[in-house]
Amino acid sequence: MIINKIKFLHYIVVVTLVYILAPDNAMAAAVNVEGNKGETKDYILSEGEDGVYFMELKDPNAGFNTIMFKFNKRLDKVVIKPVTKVYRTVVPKYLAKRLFFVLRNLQEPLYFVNSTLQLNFHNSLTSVWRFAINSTVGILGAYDVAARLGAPPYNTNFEVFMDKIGFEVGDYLVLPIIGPTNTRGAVAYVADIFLNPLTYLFNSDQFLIYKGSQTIVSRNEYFEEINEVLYNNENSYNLTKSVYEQKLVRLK
Amino acid sequence: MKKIALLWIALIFMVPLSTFADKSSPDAEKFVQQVSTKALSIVGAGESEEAMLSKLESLFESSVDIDWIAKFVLGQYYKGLTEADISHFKKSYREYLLKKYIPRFKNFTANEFKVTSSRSLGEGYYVVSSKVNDPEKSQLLNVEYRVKVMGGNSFQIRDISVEGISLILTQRSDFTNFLHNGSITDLIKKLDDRSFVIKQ
Repeated sequence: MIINKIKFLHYIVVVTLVYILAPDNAMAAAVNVEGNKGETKDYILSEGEDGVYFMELKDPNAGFNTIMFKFNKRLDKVVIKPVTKVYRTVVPKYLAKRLFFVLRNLQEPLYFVNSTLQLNFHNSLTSVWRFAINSTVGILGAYDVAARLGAPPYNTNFEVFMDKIGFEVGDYLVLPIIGPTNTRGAVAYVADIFLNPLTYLFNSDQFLIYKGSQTIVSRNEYFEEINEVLYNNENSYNLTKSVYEQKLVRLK
Repeated sequence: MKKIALLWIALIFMVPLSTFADKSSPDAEKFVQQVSTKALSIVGAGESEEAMLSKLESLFESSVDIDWIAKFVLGQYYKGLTEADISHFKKSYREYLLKKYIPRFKNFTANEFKVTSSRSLGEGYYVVSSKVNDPEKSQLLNVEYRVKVMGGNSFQIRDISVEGISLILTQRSDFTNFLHNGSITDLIKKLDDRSFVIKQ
């Protein structure tokens, strides 16, 4: 009985940690927020000086957000970036690419669930096809064969669904380790945990390994860009917000 | 059971190819293709760094609407500036862009850039989409050029966005934020310094 309780507690702690370490929205993700293919909202850059061409999120909790941002940046500096650097040095580029594709292939079931919820059957089928082909012919996803056969990758998440059923985008929110999001996005983030078939297939340790490697792999994929946003500009807080907003606009 | 399996297979093969019905512009596509071909051939010519830079600079000059972009990235601060400040800023900004992006550009070769489609945004604006094979990346990058008709059949580039991140929106956020507390002279100084930042 007690052992079960401990196991359960352990599970909760690990799952929480895992989601906290989740890369897809992690800082890494300043540059990696998911958008819905084909529904880009265009901006027209008119001659006027200062028209609003993009979404600017309200930031009423700037105090909290700034502290969280500093924490995340520190975490990147002390842990994520150094580990990624080692990864870059040790793992050959070719292998790193294969790993990137393997991990992305594992996202496909979640994309399928979300696309179906959105009644976007074109995307649902794309996910089925991509997952089926890439997991087999593509050797566990290491090669994106489906893309060559006319089913290119796309991203989606629960926030797209929330948007479709009328939830307005919320205030800007920076969460520890998860990174930039908004109040609506944070709700969607939790929903995606429950919707992801992998949550139920993997045990907690497997999931931890999965999420941990995803963090490093996506930090590696956008290594320069994230360094640029976090360390090579005047105000990384504002720049991260701007990059996040630009990615979010693509959800629409 | 067999029927279900067949249905799945049928569904799998039904994945439609993406179709684009937007008004495309062959001229805009051609323009982007030409500019990139030129740029790539300059980079690939194997000349000295100096010769390459000066050639790229003149290509940049003729194909990018630097006046408009410089104005855009300064946002509301543009109005309060003197002519001298503006021209000084433009000069530094141009060098900054060139020095910042050329090192990355060097990795590309001509067959790894492909214009895929274009669409009209109205008001003489077109978005030209392309795929770029950056050897540093696992997948092809989606690069979009926002071009504007400048009279006749000529175009100029007003924005480049990579994977949805716009160069000018991002830089405007960075610069206007700086100008909120700092002066244009400091910004120019920063740009001059930063041109030489070596990224790891």
